[in-house]
Amino acid sequence: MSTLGDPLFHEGRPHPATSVVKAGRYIVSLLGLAAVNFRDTQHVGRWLPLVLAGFAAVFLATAYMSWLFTSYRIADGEVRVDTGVVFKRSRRVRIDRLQAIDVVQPLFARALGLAELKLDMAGGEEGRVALAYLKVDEAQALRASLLARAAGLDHRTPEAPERPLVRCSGSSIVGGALLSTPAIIGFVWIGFFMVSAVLAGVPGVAAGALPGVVSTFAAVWQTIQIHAGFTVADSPDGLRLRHGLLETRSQTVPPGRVQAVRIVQPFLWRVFGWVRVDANLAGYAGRRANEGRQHNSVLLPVGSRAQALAVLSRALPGVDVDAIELHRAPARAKWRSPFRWFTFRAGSNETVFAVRSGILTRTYALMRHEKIQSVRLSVGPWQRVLGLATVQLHSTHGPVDVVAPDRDVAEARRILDVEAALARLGRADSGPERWMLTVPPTS
Amino acid sequence: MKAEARTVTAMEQAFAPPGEEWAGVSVQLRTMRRAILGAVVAVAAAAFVIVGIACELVLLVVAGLAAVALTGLAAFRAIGRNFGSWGYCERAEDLLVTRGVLFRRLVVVPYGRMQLVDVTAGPIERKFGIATVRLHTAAAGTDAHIRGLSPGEAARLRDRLTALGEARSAGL
Repeated sequence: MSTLGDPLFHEGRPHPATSVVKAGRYIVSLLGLAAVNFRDTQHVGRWLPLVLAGFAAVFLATAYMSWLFTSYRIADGEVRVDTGVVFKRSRRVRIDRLQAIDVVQPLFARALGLAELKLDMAGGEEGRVALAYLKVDEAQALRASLLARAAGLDHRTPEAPERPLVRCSGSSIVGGALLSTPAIIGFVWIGFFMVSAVLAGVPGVAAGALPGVVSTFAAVWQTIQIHAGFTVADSPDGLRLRHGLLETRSQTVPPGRVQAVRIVQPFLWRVFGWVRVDANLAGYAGRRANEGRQHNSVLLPVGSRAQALAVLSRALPGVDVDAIELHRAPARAKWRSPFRWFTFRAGSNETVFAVRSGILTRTYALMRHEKIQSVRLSVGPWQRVLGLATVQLHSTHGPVDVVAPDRDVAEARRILDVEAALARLGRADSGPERWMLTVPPTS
Repeated sequence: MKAEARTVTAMEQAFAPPGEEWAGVSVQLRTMRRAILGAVVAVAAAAFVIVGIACELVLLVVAGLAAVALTGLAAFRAIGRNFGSWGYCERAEDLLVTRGVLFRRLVVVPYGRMQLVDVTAGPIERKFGIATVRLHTAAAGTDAHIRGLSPGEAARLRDRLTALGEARSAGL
């Protein structure tokens, strides 16, 4: 087994029990399949256990082979993972390009005290490397030394101390999931069929609600499962997020890797004053947009405004969110966006550009000038008649869109020019990639 | 009336080049598109004539040809206007690209943000001696491309952008 005794050079192989965890998932689903189709499998009779055992042995052998041919090596500032029995694959990632590191524990691995280390790079799915599975403490130690190295510190630096920032209560997680917009739509759908069934006096009509019931509860359960026990802690090497009921996940988001953030308030959350904080994090750009949304881009799933501001103060250090002066879109925007024009606000200060909009679901998005990838000014035919233009700041893939719709056209061009200039200045100041070198490692 | 005129000039100013002129694209882009349009118009006209004669409907032939001619003319002019709308400008730190008539767009891409630069030319584009340069950043939303560049200009732009991108490269 590998040790972390000499962290300069680290070579190893996943924990031997990895094959059990990986095969276990298939064996469990196979057992499930056999149980569900019990009647159909009757004719196999007493051979059934043997058949199942045979399949299990094949799964185990395959998983064992793949474990045998998996090794990783950390040296010369990169992490290399070699896999493949027949088709060899070698992936390398530069440690100083690391965007974030997650420690994920699926239920099965958790039972065996194992964890998966996920390294996220810029470039989404393609730039993702996983070390699965390691012992939990080993995974955590490795994460600490990788983060220290990525930050430009000595790898022997002990894991930075953390300060708890926010802890979401169970009731707010459940309540937030139940009052989220998709859940509400689901409930309305179910209610519609129930009422129709009663009014029509035909109970069969209620069956129409079934797909709604299934999908709504699946979605609500999924949200609760992922976000249960969400805690946000602040440490010098970034925001530490921990969450999950069955599969637990602990993420570290280094400072300065947050590309854009938004505070969202779905309609019914207003009653409780809850908000959610999402972020675009480079590297978390899942191909499946949903995965990225659900797992990785939420900095605070549900919390009070004060809690959201506490998280934002770490995600966007040095920005007083409430002090940014926002300006309304001109009144003639009502001819283009009759229902929303009065909610459009945009403004900026020396560090961020901010936009606010939404009647039912309110959104407030912020982006640091130096994180801008590109800026677009666009004018459609109807906007041209009204002398309006839309400015969009492009960020890396994620839930946050920073768009200022229907600005006065002259103002829009001014925003474009100013943002392009500020983006340049911000980048010039942003210094080296190794974020800890820019600030003394105190606190 | 006056208000409208003011709006129009404000609109022009919003898409004005930063400083000098916009660098335009090769006339070959217009030529290529008009050639394609010509081919489409010819096929459509032929179809109307054949179907009209086969069905012995002179009216169909006349109406069809008139419709084809009108839409062809409109498309011909639209191609010309679209060609005129293309422009780009290399500044010290960023590249500006503007295009579109009905939907006007102006995109600024800082050199330090460019991840890669693509030069593509399809078979028809190659026949007409033009190429497309496309800029990619870490944002999927960045849709900055310049069509209808001469191969020499496309190569020069690609090399210059890559060099500048490397020199000014910044982390995410």
